[in-house]
Amino acid sequence: MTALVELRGVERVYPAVRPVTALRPTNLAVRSGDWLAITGRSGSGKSTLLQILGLLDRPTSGAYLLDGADVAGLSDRERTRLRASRIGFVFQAFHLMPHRSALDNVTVALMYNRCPRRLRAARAAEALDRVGLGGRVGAMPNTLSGGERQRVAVARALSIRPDLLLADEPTGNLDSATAEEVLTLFARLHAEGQTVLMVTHDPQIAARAARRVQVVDGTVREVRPDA
Amino acid sequence: MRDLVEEALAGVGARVNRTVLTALGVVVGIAALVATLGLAATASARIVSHFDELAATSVTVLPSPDAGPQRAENLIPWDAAERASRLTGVVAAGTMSTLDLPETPVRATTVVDPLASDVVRPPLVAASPGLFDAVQARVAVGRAYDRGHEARRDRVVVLGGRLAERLHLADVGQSPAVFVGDVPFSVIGVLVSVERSPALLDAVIMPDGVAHARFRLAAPLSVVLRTRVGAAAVVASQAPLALAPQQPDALIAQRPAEPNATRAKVAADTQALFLALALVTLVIGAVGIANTMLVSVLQRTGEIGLRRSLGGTRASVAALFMVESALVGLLGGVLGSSGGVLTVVGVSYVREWTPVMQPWLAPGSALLGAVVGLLAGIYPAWRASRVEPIAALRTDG
Repeated sequence: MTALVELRGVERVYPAVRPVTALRPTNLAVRSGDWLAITGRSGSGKSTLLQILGLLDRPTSGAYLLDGADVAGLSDRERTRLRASRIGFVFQAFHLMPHRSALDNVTVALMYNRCPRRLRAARAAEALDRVGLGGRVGAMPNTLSGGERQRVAVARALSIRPDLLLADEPTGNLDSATAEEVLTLFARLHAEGQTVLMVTHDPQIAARAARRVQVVDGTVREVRPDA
Repeated sequence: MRDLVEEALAGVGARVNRTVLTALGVVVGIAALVATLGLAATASARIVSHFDELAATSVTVLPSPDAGPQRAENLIPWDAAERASRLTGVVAAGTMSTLDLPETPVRATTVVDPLASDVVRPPLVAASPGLFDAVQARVAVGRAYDRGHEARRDRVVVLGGRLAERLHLADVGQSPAVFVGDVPFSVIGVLVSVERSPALLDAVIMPDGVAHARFRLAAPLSVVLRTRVGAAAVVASQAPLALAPQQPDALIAQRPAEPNATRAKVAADTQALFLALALVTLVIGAVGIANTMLVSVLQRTGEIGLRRSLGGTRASVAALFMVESALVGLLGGVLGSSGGVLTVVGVSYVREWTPVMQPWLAPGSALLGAVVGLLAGIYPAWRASRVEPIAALRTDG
């Protein structure tokens, strides 16, 4: 079985007077259905890795195979289309639009996904139902708790039925109880076969994932489950 | 496209107060523009409608210039006014002839005093009694002459109000005399206003018969007709035949000339000033919108980053801000246009005018607001399209 995501010798160097190597040549394979946690201190290069995986940044060299096709050299527009159709993002700061209902916040993703208008509301409601917010579709973000807001963000990411769910510090703004809420959700999505990549600096959160890699000074290392 | 407009509407609608305040500059600019153009149209329509009313009811019959000097002499019969009155649609008719006696002095006393200020050389006009009604002259003191004066060839005159003032002849009750050349005439009336031929206010007006006897007027030189509204065209076509059946082609029937162009020019100058002010206000309004949109871009970097990560292109983000800006401008345009129309109607109501506006003015100026908004949005939209998604997504918000 081919990997859903495969990095072959991917390197990222930021041009400057003294170029900064954020990511040394890296090989990484993620199979469909994996739940991978990427850990590392701030400045270690884990964010760079996530940006490249999320097609928000381009590697300086190396190949990025998404479902077997090299996407590293695609144009801005083509990568944007891939983001809209195959990758769901969840952010630390939720990034919900404050004046729009939970349903509308999810629908925006479907709009960029070019989902037909008549299907959007139903699919958004379905996604909210999937994260346990089926009864709160009309709620405004300021009436939701932190955990609920992040679940709306997860629903927004899931609504487009992405191949890859990328979460950047998804529990960073949450207390431990609500963080647990989100992690439980991720565990369930993983059980349902959703591929999840999660960046976190917290080893305890990372431990919940099925697989872990650690980024240290731009080098990615696999962490054995028993380590 | 529909998605884009809906998203922009949601963006604008989410901040109603700010949107309205932002649009204020455009509101004022557009209102000033609409009010200026509307009031100008209303005022000129007033001039035109006044002119139209005259045009629709005035006909002057003259010898045709092609007829030659000889034939022109005796073309119009002395009973022209009577003949013309029999035409359907004619309300009043009178002959009017300016006597060709340029150097004839008119004075109020017999004493020839070289230093006297009461010697003037006014136009001398011979007219049938019907002329006063035909030109809508109003007699302030005394009376106009009648057919009796005419038949008896009485030496009476009616003076224009301005001429009477120059001759110091305000009081007709004392039957003052004026001397036209050396011939004395009794002043029996003074005109205060002449609706259709204001030049008569400076003239000495005498009966046709006297002019014929004393100043060798061979025949009337023109016939002035006042008709019922709308009848002027028909009367104009029939009058030459009625007045000169043997050679109707030698007469022409004229309508009044164009209204005073100077007045229109003054109006245009004032209008240009107000239009310039309106445009300056619009520019200020555009700067206001641009400023607010720029702040909005900075405040919404998170949202911009999110849209990019969800699959929004740089172009779609730029388009969103452009459309939002255009919507703010459109709102300003609609409010301003309404305000301008209300101003025109209000002023017209107070001045008892009929408000007149070009049909495209209200919708056109509202659209102009949208265009102003669109232009104002260009730079903020460009800035929004430059936002890097990852940097934006790392910020709170």
